Amino acid sequence: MTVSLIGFAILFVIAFLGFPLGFAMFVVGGVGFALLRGTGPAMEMVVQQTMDVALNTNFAVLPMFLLMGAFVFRAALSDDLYEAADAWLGHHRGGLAMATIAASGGFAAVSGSSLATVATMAKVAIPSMRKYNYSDSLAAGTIAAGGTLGILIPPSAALIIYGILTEEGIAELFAAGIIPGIISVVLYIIVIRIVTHYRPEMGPRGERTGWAERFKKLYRVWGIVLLFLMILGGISFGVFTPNEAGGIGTIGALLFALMRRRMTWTVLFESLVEAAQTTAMVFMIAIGALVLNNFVALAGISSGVINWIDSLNFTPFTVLLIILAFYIVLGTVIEGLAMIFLTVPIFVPVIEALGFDLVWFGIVLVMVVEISLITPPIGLNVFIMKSMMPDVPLNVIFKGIAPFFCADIIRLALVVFFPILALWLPQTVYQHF
Amino acid sequence: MTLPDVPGADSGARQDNWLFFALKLVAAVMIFAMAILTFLDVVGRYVFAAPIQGTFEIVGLLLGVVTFSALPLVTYSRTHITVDLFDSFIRGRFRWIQQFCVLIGSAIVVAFFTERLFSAGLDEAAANYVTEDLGLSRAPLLYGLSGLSAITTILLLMMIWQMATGKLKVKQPDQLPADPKPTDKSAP
Repeated sequence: MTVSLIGFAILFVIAFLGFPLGFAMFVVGGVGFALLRGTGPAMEMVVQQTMDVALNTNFAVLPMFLLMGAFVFRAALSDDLYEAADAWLGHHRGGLAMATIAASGGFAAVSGSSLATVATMAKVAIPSMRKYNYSDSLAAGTIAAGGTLGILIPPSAALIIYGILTEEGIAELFAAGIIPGIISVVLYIIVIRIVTHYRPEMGPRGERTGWAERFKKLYRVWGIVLLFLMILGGISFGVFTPNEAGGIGTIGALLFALMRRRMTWTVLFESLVEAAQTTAMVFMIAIGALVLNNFVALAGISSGVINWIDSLNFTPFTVLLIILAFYIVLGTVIEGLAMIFLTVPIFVPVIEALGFDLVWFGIVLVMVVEISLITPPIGLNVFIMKSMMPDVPLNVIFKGIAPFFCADIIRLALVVFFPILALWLPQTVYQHF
Repeated sequence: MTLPDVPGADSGARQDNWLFFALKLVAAVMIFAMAILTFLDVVGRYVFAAPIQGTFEIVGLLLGVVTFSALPLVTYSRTHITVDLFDSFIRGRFRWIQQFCVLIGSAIVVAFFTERLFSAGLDEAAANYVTEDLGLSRAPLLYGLSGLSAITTILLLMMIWQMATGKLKVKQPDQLPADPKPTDKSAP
């Protein structure tokens, strides 16, 4: 226990000093393992873990979905997507904000990047919301919150990474993310409804679009909508493996970009290289995290923590709530993937020992990561919004986000208290118990 | 998900010589091959009831090449994922020392990868290990991955030298990737 605590202390120090996270975990895990078990076994273990990640076909799902995201991003469909959503929702009170949520959800899910979603949707949605005199805080809050939607809705890179680190099935994780993902879209739309009900001036109605025009606008994005539904449906009902969905998604997105005349050889090459580089970045950390996992398991840090928890006489549920509170606090300063990589080796064994389902915990963890993107002081999406709307003060943006933050907390509570919301699909389709 | 957008874009590192082009080409071809092969396998299976033999295995091997051919690119552009919480607080001379140490530490880790992968290749060759479906020997692949790792090590050594002689600049904290242009409503 002591040796592992020292290990973690060193890990945090070198990681916070700016050492690449993957290398830091690799060194601490490898050296720690060598100290406990000897150099020979440690040398064997690290190469085994390296090959288990870098040559593992199941993990090819990550580069394929990254590639799909790169193609979708370059197909420049955000305008069309937004216009289609606007045609269907714009005439409601707060309708443009609802359209932003719908378009962000779709775009983020297929593009896979929260940052790109916020930056792109801001460019499309801000001018139109300002034209209809939407309040800046509602506009900014909607876009920043909408950008977080894609993290959970499959294909989700965060869930893939969680699957790699915990050896839980990626298909089960994807299926588990669908219902909570839909809940978040619905809750965000309810939030906009409530806000504009009490403050109608914040989100006036737009013009009503005729049915012919609505279908015409929908027709322009049918390809990507179909692709999205196919991937989502294919994974939810167990028709494709995640890898197969990745292959279909990538080639589909490529065809889509070709049809929109956005694909040149240069763009293709850039997209491929970008996806490969991101894969290398993530896999280096995954290797490091798995090496660290081995050390953690050997050093018995988790059993130490579990014994300590036992001695406190807390119920498992209380412990879970403490862990979640810790995550939300940690999420205000560290965010996104770094949080997953740093905490999964420590907490997941504890969660497992307490008898919770790890697929369900993956969904809970990713939702906490989503929250970390919009909470002060370091909410990345908020800072991107700020750079897109320089004339709007930061506190106005945070004020606009507050109702969405409440919606996120409600959803987190729903999934925590009713795990069936996440587990029903994986249980029904994949017999995950 | 939150992954860094367009790696290398803000590093200022020039990656336009033949070595980087070759590495990018290898990474690009391999990742594309992986997607196309998977796609054809699915179409083959569901439409023609004829999946492509050994797809599962080949994709795994390609994945290794993708990862390790992109490693030199990511390393040279200094875009590995880091915890940048204190990044903007480390300034001046300390920043130089910090980054010099990071380069040295990274070089040691990657050199270790190089040795480990090579020795794994030797082990598999000695044991005559072949893959289950296609009966391929993985040793040549492991030597190749070790070679790509060696290229990364050499690049890191070059960067250490350039940093010591002042040719490689200290990397500044990341800027936000968004377009900072003001929108249509002007400030009151």
